[in-house]
Amino acid sequence: MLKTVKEVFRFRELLFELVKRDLKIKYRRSMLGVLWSVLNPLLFMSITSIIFSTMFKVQIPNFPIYFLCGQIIFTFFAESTSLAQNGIIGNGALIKKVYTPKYIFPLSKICFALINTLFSLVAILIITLFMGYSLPLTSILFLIPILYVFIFSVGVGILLSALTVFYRDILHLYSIFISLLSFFSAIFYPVEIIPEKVRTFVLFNPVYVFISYFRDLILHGKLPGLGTNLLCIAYCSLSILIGFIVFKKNENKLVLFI
Amino acid sequence: MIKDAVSLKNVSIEFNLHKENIGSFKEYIIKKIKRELVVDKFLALDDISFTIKKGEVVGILGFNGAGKSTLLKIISGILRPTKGDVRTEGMISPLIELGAGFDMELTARENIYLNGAILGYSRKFINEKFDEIVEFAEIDEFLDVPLKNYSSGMVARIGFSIATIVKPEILIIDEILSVGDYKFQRKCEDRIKNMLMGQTTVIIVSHSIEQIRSLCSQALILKKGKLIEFGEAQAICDQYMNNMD
Repeated sequence: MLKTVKEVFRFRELLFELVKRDLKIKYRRSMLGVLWSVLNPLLFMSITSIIFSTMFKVQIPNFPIYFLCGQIIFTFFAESTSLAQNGIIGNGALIKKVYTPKYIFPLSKICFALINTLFSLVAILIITLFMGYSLPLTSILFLIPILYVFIFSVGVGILLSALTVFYRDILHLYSIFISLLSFFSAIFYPVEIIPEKVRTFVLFNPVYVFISYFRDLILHGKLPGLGTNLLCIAYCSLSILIGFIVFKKNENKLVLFI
Repeated sequence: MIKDAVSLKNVSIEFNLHKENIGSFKEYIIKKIKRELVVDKFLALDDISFTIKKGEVVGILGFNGAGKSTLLKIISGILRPTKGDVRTEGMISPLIELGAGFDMELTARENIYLNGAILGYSRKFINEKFDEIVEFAEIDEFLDVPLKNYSSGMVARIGFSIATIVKPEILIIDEILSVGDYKFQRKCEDRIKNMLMGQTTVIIVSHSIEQIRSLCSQALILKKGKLIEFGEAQAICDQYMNNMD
């Protein structure tokens, strides 16, 4: 694995160029450009707030911020893994013609999603200013949960990117899975409304764990304890480990199936 | 002592020809149960061994489907052999398809940096060589035009220009000298001849016997994945011509 890290470092310029390409293509020829990454969650939040904020008024103070925290973290995971899933297939023409380490492609997609997410965070800043909400001191640690999601997504992303080459059905299955997951991540509702019996599913859903970590920092001014951090680290390690092993095992076969 | 630049030892590669493209779990399971899952193996390269010394220029001859491109892909590390061993010494610049990895939405300038990174050059290096690349490709007027508005010949010119800006230790060329107009072809040949002075090992696939005769010192013939002959270029070309009739 250390060898892989070194290789990524050696190919960092390629990684950088690939991310730059995606960013350029995404925002090229749109007038508002990168502003869309901020506007998108804001608009979505406004709609959701209109519909749900009265419903959960008592349980959730500052609903818009509650929602945005969940939405941004969830979108990061969903976007990065879905894009990474296509990373190998989408660059098939290139992979067949030039030798490059193949995981660079899913990895570049996840870095691309990370940058979008960082832009989206501005939305939270705007809404707090707008609502006159003062961010607690713990907010400065906001990068920690983002880093967790990033690492977790890298594992899931490279796993999916390899498997999808062999079984294209996963492409469709995963998009269904993502919408299912969005309902089990307590993005727009308080976790308490879920019946006790199934609540454990949500509480141990890695994405929810990351979201609630983020909310603790931004909304509750609370530092998540050692237990939560260990859980996050465990999820990240497991994800990276499985993704890495599966990918490495199939790396040389991939090119024959693209 | 002259070192070996490329050496292949008993290299075979096998492809699975899925007669019907099975791409889903459901199909796979149904076919498996019905025992229709016949995978035809196809030996694209069969027990190939040879060595190329440093600085040699080797032409690969053979009919369509003889395994020429597969051989190049094995040497450049894109494919791994099913059996056998491939050894290469030094940096490889593969010209298997010009402009593989170009993004048509990006401009020529951006593509030069992207493609350079794909080939493993550093940004600093491209900055230094940028003018030279542009000049060789003769595209300075259109640098900031998206590539989708370029003609295919121009795209190929940029590709060639980037890939040959370094003096690689091993240069691999697949059928690409037939791109561009006559004038540009001459320019490409000149550049390759220039590289020969610089101790670069070159491996060329071409259907043009003339090209092989004028550029290569050694040549080999592939037929249905087997190595038929390996030797001095002129003699091999004669043999190939005679066998064609």
